[in-house]
Amino acid sequence: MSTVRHRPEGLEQLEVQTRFSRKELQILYRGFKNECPSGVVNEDTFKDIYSQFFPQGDASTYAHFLFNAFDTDHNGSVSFEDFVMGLSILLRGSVQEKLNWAFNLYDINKDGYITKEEMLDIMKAIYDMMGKCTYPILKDEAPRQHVEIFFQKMDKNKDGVVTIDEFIDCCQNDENIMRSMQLFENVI
Amino acid sequence: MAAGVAAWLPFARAAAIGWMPVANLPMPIAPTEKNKRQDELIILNVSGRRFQTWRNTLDRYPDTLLGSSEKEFFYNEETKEYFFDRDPDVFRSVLNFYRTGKLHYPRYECILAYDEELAFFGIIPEIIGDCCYEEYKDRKRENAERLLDDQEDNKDSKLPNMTFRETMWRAFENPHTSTMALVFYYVTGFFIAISVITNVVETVPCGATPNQKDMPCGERYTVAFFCMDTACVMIFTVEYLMRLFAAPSRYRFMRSVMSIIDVVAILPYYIGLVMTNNEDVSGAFVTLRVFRVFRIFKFSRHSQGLRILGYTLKSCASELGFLLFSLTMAIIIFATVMFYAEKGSTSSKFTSIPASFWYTIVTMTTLG
Repeated sequence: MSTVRHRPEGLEQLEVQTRFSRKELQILYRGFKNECPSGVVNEDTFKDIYSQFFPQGDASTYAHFLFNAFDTDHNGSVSFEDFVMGLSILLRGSVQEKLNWAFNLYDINKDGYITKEEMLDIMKAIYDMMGKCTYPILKDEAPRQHVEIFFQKMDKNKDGVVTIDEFIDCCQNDENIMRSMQLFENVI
Repeated sequence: MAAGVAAWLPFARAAAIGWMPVANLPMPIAPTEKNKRQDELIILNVSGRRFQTWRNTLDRYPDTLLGSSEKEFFYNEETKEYFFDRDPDVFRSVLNFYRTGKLHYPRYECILAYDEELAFFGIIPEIIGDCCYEEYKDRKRENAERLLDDQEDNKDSKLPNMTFRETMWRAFENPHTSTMALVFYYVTGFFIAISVITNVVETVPCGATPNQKDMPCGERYTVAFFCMDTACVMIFTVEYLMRLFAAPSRYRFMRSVMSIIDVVAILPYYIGLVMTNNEDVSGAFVTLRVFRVFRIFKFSRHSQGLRILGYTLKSCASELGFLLFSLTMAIIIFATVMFYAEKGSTSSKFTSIPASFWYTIVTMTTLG
C-alpha cells in the first residue's frame, strides 16, 4: 500500500495566497503534519479530529459537509493548501467572503441554490453534533422548525430556494449574524 | 484530547461559521488565552544530554511535572535551560509521550527504573499504549513475584514469638529449621522408602516350600508384611494428622495436592480393615491396593527436583492438554476410517470403532 505523500507549495507562495503570517503558517503546518503525517487529510481522519472537539454528540455528518466545503477541488482529500486557504477565508477574510464560504457549506450539491432539503440535512447534522446534552432539551421536530424559520427569513421571493444574493443580503442586514462574524478575528 | 489535536483548535472554531447564520442568538465570545506568547523552544538538559522541544508540546499535559510550573524548580538561570539529573535514555520515552501522545515501554529497560522515572515526571503508567502495555504488565508481575519469593526466603531469618502450631508448621515445611524437624524429615523419608520396597517385595516369588508351589512373598509371610504395612500406615497417619493440626489454613491444606496424595496413600489400608472378608468387594479392594504405590509421590516433599517437575507439568498443562486432545481427534478419525475400510471383509478384527482404537493408538505411537 503506497502512502499518499503530499508536499505543500512553498511557504512564500502560501504567504502570498493566504492572509496568514509566516509564523502562523509554520504553526498551522506543524499541527497539520503532526496529525496527518502523509500530508493530506482524508474524510475519516477529518471526522475523527472533528469528533474529538465534540465528544457529546455525533459530529460525523457535519464533519462530512465541512470536508466537502474544504475540499475545493473535490478530489477526496484535503491538502494543506486547501486547509489553509479555507482557514484564511474563515478567519481573516472579509464578511462577504465568509458569508460566501458559509453559503458554499450549506449548498451541498454546489448548484448555487440552497433548497429546504439541503438546509434540513445541515440542520440535522448540527443538531446531532450538539448531542442530547443541550439545555433546554431539543425536540425531534426542532431541526424542521428551525429550517422553516430560516427560510422565512432568507427566502425573499418565496421561490422555495435561497440564492447566494438573498443569503448575503439577508445576513448583512441581520445584526446578530454580523456581530457573530466579528468574533473570528481573534481565533488564531 | 490527543496531543496534536490541540493544534486544530483554530480550525474547529472556524468551522463554527456553519451554524452562525442559523443561530437565533449571537455567539458568545471565544475564550482567549491569558498570556498568549509566541511558541518558543525550551531546552531540557537531562544529565548532559540536551533535548529541545516547543513549550506548547510540554503544555499538552499540564498535570505532569514538565507540563506544569513544577519544572521551574529545575530552571538554571545561567544556562537558560531546565536541568534534570535523571536517566537520559528513559527520558526519551517520557518526551516522546508529550510529542506523540503515546507512552511506550522499551523492552531493554528495567521495570523498576522505568517506574521511578515515570513517578518522578508525574506520569501514570496506566496510559502506556496498547502496543507496550502487555509487556509492561508481564514484567511488573514477574518482578512482584520475585519480590514475594525473596520475602518468603527472608522470613526465616526473623523469629518472633510463634505459637506452637506455627513452629510445627514451619518445621514441617522447612526441615532445616530445627533438629527435631530434621529427624522427623528423615524418619518419614525412611518409612516411605520402606513402604514402597515392601509393596514391591510383596509380589516377588519367594521360593517354593515343599508342600506348596511358588508363591509371592506377600502370601508366604503375610503376618510380617501386614505388621510392616500397619507400622508405615500408622506413621503416615500420625504425620498427616500432625500436619493437619499445624496447617494455618486447614481447608487449604486439605485441598492441596500433597495432602490428597497422603490420604490416597493410606486409605486402602483403612478400607481393607473395614471390609474384612466380603468376597464380592475384596476384588475391588485388591485394586485399591494399587493406590499404595502413590506413597512414592510422598517423596516429592523430600525432593525439590520432583516438585519442580510437578510445577513444570502444571504450567504446561494447557499445552499438554491440547496435545492430548489433538491426538484423541486423530485417533478417532483414523479408527473410524479403518473401521469403515475393513467393514466389508468378514474376518476383520475391527468389529466396532472402539475396537479399532487400539490398532490406531499402537500404530500412531509407532509401537506396532
